[in-house]
Amino acid sequence: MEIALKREALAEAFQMAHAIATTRTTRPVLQNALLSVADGGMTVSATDMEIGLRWNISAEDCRVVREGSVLLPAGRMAQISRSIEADEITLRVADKTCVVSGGRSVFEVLMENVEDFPQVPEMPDEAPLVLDGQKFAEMTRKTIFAVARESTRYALNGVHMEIVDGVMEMVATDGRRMALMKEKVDKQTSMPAAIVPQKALSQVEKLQSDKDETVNILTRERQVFFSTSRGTVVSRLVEGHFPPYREVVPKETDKKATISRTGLLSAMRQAAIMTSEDSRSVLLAFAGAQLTVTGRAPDEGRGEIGLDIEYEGEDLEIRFNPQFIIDALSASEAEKVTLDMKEGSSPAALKDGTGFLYVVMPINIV
Amino acid sequence: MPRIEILPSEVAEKIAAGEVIERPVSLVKEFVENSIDAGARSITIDVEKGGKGLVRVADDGAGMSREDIELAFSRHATSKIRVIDDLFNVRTMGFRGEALASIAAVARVTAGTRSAQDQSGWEVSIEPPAAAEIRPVGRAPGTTIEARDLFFNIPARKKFLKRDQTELGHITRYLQAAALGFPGMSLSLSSNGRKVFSAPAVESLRRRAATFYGEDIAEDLVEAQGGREGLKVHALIAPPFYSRVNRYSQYIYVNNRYVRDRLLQAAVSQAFRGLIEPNRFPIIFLYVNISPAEVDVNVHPTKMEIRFRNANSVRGTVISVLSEALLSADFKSRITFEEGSTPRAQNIRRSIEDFYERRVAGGVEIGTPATHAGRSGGSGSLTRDGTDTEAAAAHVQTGPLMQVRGTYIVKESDDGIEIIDQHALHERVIYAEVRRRLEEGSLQGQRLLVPEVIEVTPAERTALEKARDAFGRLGIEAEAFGQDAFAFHSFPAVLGDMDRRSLLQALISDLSAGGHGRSMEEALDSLAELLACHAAVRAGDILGTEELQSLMEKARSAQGRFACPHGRPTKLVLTFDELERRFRRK
Repeated sequence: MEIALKREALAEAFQMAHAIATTRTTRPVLQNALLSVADGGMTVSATDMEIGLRWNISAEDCRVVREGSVLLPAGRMAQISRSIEADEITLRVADKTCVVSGGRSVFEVLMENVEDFPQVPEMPDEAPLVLDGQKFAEMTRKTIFAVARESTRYALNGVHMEIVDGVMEMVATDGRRMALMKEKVDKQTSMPAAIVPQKALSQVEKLQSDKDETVNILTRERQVFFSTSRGTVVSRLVEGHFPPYREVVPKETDKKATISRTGLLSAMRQAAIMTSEDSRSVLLAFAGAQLTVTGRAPDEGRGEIGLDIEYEGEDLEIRFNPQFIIDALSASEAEKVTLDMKEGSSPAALKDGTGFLYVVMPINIV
Repeated sequence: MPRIEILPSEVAEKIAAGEVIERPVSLVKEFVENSIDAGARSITIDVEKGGKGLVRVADDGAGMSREDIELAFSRHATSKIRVIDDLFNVRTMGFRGEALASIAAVARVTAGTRSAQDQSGWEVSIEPPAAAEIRPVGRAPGTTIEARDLFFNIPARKKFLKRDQTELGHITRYLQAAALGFPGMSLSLSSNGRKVFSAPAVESLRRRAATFYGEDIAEDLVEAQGGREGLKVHALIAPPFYSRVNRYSQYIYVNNRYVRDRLLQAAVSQAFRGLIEPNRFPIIFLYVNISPAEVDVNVHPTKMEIRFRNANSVRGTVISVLSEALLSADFKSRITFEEGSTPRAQNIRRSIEDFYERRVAGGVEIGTPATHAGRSGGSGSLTRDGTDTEAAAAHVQTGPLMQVRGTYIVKESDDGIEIIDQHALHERVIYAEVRRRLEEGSLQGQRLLVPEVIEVTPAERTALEKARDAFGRLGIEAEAFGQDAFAFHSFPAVLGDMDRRSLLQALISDLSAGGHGRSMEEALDSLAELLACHAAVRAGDILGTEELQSLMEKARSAQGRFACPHGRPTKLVLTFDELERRFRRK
């Protein structure tokens, strides 16, 4: 095998592969990336057995001399390809090593046995669901932060995706807040409910060479494929039942606040300064056209931030984990957000005028 | 024929003896207590066959006159109380006046004695049913008393005596306790002619503790002192990580009398709660001095049990004195390379090492050397050079902190190098904080979108219903959900995103396993423990300089910071002394 590539293309490929490959150490072979040179291009694959990557380097970024494949350590190759000071890097298999050279640098990297590496499946040749890349990125951004991190209810460790009646829904929850994003899609399209691991979804955006590129999605029984011209991410789906999230959306709210997104974000960040590790909560007091956000650290002091808002309903005090509000406000780009509430112990719904709905549970006022 | 008869005095004596004399150690105890009462400075004890063959106690005390010795072996003869009121003001060890008579009824007794004023001594031997025979004898002042062939005339009881080794064990334990009660007295024990231990007179309790527990423990003992009018508590407490699997190393004395009193044992356990591993017992020397009028030692002939007039007050005082000393202490577990903890074991090990000219690294391992400490992407956790401003700032306040293997924190202290278990320490910090918050009120509860529904057994259901208020104070709102499930609507906010379900399940089963006798306080305590354990940083969590800094800062004022809530130590110290020894610098 022999191939010459643009340094940046190779570095990017190994960086992607490294992100997938690093986590597992029980099977050392998975720390490698498989390079296959064929048909005038190169594919780099990596997997941790839950998520797989096939990354394409097209003919315009490389020059194939001799076809073949080679298994190389992803982490080390990412470092090498990042640090060689040359625009072009050559990979050449010689006896038991792969010679990586560029400029005046030459590395000989010992190869692993190609046969030991598991096959990363290709995207099946079926008609996929085609989504607007920008929209998909926004849906991902506005839900992925709410994924549970430590739950033994595995269903919560991913983002639930489904298309119902021409509306695509993505939703994530950790049991304390829920982020739901809806987007109209072509009436004809359909997609069965699937829970996609957070790690897989976070890789998908990197598959887009620019934000406008569409994303192809295909679900199989237990797998989901995301692909663009740059490559494919395949992931095992999370098994289990996602909680009945539509029932969680509060319906009988009688108080509504309309607030500047950046104003609220700043107020929450300020108030959060004055909270302590064991009581990370801030108090929101709605009264007339005034919102007062108070943070109090029992032994250290307090901070109080005032905000002009539009408000309908009786005065209300409600307590939140400030990070929950900050997460949602940071994911949004809207100028204003609304908060629908009922009382201090019932859920609040935050909306930003898009298909975004964020339900957040308060902290008990004691 | 009459069904009820008056027992012949011989039988009655044997029955009475049975209450006082259960086994050889009872003989030792009676004799040694008499010696102590006689003001002995030195007591020598010889036993044969675990005391079954012979118990001989020789002292240099006041001794007895001829009249005394004649009376000594008749029932209720005592020099120590005269009228019944005295019984409530007992300050001596023995007082009942039945022991010697009882012993004479079940063993072959010989006693020799001479009071300091007399020119010569007297010897008496008694072998039931024959009467005592007294003859003059030349000897040094003091008393020697021996009892041979215990229960020679009561085969039924003799059968119940255990193996020599077991009986010797009881005797050794009792004598250690006696020695620890009177450090100024020299006390030695031999068995079948071989020395078991010898405790020379020393100037302090701490020195005496060193005799039996080694220099390390003796040096680490923390002193507790306090009490009120009429009740003084004094204790030497070993750091909890020297704990034992039984209570044998708990030496409790009431008015200098060694006792095994449940109330005081429970008080010790209570004071150590959350500082010691479950089912482990601390090494403690506890001395309670109470006005004799407040205590009844006449509960049982062996006087091991006592009764306090105001039990709650005694319990409370003991707990508060011990807790105060414990919680403000900063015990350090020293790292040594020797396995044995007694000086003797250390000496032996050292000479073996010297002989082979090689190191034997037993004891605690020293973990990863500092050079391995750097990790990929470790964010300023090492003070690599002066340009690391974050690290430099850390240096100013607590000295440089280094994280090793994402698990231990290493720092310099006044007396050596401290190695801190980050999880254990953080656990303690959170636990102390949660306890403090709970004393003031409640924890904040984060409400849940969908209640966590957990199925419970009938026993768990009962326990849960009882503990509902305790749960509420922790920020956990629980509500019965049908017959065999509970719905949890909120969860302690401090725990963040941790696995609610498994924590709740753990709490519930822990709660019901605790039984119904558990108080609200105990329930809260174990809940707080579980919370702390789950909320603390884990081994393997990489901490930045600021995080390390803040953990050390918080730990500085946390109560009981030397141990995690399960009683495992939070830090080990490799002393400069030890380093210098190992590097052969001295």
